[in-house]
Amino acid sequence: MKSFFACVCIALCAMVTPASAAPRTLTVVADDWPPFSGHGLPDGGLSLDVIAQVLRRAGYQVETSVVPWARIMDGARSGEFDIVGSLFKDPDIASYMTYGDPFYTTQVQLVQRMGGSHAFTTVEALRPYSIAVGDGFVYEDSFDRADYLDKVVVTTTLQAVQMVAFGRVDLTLDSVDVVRHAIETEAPDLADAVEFAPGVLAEQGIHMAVRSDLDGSAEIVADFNAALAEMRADGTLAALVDRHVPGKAGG
Amino acid sequence: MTFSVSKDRLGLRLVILSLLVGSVLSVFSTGIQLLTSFERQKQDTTNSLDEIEAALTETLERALWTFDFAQVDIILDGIATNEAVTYLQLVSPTGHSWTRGQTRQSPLKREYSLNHSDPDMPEQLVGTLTVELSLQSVIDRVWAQFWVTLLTNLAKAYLAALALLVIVHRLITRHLRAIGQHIETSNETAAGPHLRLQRPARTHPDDLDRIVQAITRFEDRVRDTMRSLRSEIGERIKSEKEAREALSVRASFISTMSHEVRTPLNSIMGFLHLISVDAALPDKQRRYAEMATKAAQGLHNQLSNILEMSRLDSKAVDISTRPTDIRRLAGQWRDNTEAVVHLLKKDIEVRLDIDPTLDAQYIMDGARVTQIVTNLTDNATKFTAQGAIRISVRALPDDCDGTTERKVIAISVADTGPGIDPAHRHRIFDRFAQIETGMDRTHDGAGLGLAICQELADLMGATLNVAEDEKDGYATEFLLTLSCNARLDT
Repeated sequence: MKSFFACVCIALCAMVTPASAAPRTLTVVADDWPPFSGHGLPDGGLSLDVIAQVLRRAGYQVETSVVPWARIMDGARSGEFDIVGSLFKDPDIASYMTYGDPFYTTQVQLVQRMGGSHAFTTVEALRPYSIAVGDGFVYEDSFDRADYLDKVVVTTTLQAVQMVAFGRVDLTLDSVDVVRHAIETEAPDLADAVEFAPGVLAEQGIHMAVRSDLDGSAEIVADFNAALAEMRADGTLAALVDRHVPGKAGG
Repeated sequence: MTFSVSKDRLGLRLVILSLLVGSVLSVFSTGIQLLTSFERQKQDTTNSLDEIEAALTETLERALWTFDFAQVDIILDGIATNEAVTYLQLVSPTGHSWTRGQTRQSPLKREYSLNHSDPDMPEQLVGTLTVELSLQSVIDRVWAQFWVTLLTNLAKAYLAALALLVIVHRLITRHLRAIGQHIETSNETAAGPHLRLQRPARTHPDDLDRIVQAITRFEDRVRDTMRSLRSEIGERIKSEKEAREALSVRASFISTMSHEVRTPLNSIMGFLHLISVDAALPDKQRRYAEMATKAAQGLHNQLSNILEMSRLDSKAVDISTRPTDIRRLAGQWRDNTEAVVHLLKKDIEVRLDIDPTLDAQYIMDGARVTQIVTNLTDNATKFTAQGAIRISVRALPDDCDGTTERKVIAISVADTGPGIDPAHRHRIFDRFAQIETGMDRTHDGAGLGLAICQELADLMGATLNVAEDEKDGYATEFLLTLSCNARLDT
């Protein structure tokens, strides 16, 4: 139904839009959060690559770039950027940006030292432990709000994993894709030092969000969702995902 | 200003000395300043180690603890910007390490142990930071500061010296030179302008004012003294002229009177002699005539002496030398003496001793020497009642000065008379000197004979002395030592 509606919308838009009108250019930014986005990743990483491909399929021109998270938040509010990628669903961000459909799903899991006995049951159960968290990262709503936890703020996922590996904190948590990518690309020796604790804290979709005050933001979201559905349906999305996160095309 | 500052030698010397002293003091003070600066900067550099510890180690420890290696790099780069830091090494027990710069094994080195403290866990070492410092940058800065300070101080010293030169010139040396020029050109006789320095008058006189006052007073005294001296010289010249005129008048009078007296006296003496030898006259009259002849002879001798003394006073006596046969002359002296003795009818033997080494002739004024010897023999005859008179002539060792041959001869007249009291011997050559005084004098005479002998000897460059008494039996001996100008051997 949604696909149909999207197709109708696209068709209507195509009808009312002059054929000679130049495609609209959208600026898409994401922070350095490999493998979803980051410098040195192919086409800016999974998130920027998928968003760009989807929007292009929807008829937009896209300019992508990787910028720091703090600047993203500021630029999104000030109108500097149109679309932000690599986002978990977050109520605060949703207050001024309009989320599109998720184009990838990742699990947020705890990371412990190899041989550790931790297992996630509830957020409350994490109270006795020190947990490394990224500065400004969004994990899961109940966890993010749990101020009673012993959270040690770090800058990168790799830092958090290293702290776990050397016993400076008990746990960290992040997208398993992010953790794996960090270990594989930056610290392979940590592969034998840490492991994921049993239990999934959250399963988060990777989204893009359009600045709500952008002209035609709803239309852009709709176009995106429609094109995404098409790409998911025709297997294009799976190919893209597999390019960036091998073996996770089914996610 | 009549002369330039560059010619002010005194000022230049003062400036040069001032510069030397200023330069030495500048170097010394610069050295002190820089030594202090070096110690301070060295301390500052050392303190930077404490500052690193205080300011950065906590941040670094936290970055290491959280594996925030980007932050570690930023912190290390920040520390490395300190120019005193030459080497940094950070080693983490997790196997990570960082270095900045090259180690120079500097003694200024400090190691920081970076420990993570958490209330819930034991303190844990997260890294060891080694910082090496070098003082080279401090030394470079101090040297640069040294040259700047030294040049600045020298420039100040030179400017101060230049200002000092101008000030000293304006205040002192130009006035000293003006004083010198005034003294150099001042006339001790003419009353010129007083010394005035070209500077404003002062309420309280300084040393220059006192010098000027002293010079002015001295000039006044000199001029007063010169005026007094000139007046006195004029008076003395006038007095001397008057004395010369009086002397001339006196000599002329004496000469005239002597001549006018001697001419008739000679006639009297001649007639008295004729009477005394006239056998036709009774013995009593002839004896009276002889007594009158002696008196006339004495008067004649006194007149001759007065006339001679007058000629000596008026410089009318000349010494005329010629080759003279001293042996023949001595023979005449002996003959004349014997004649006088015979005339006086005294029992006196007259002897003549001639030195066989005497030359045949000497260049001398024989007449003046004969005049002296005759005076001496007349004296000896007069004061010797009986005994002997000895006339001796002998040659003394040559008095040769290498250019002219000179012969010295000694002529002595000795007698066996009563001798001369040593108490009176120093004045026997004075004019009108009489050893015997009062009415009991036994010998006549005016006391001019020995004075004439002395003055004649002086004219000839000879010496006349009284020799010791009681020598070889002779009570008195007069010794005439005569230096002859040349010798003629024949």
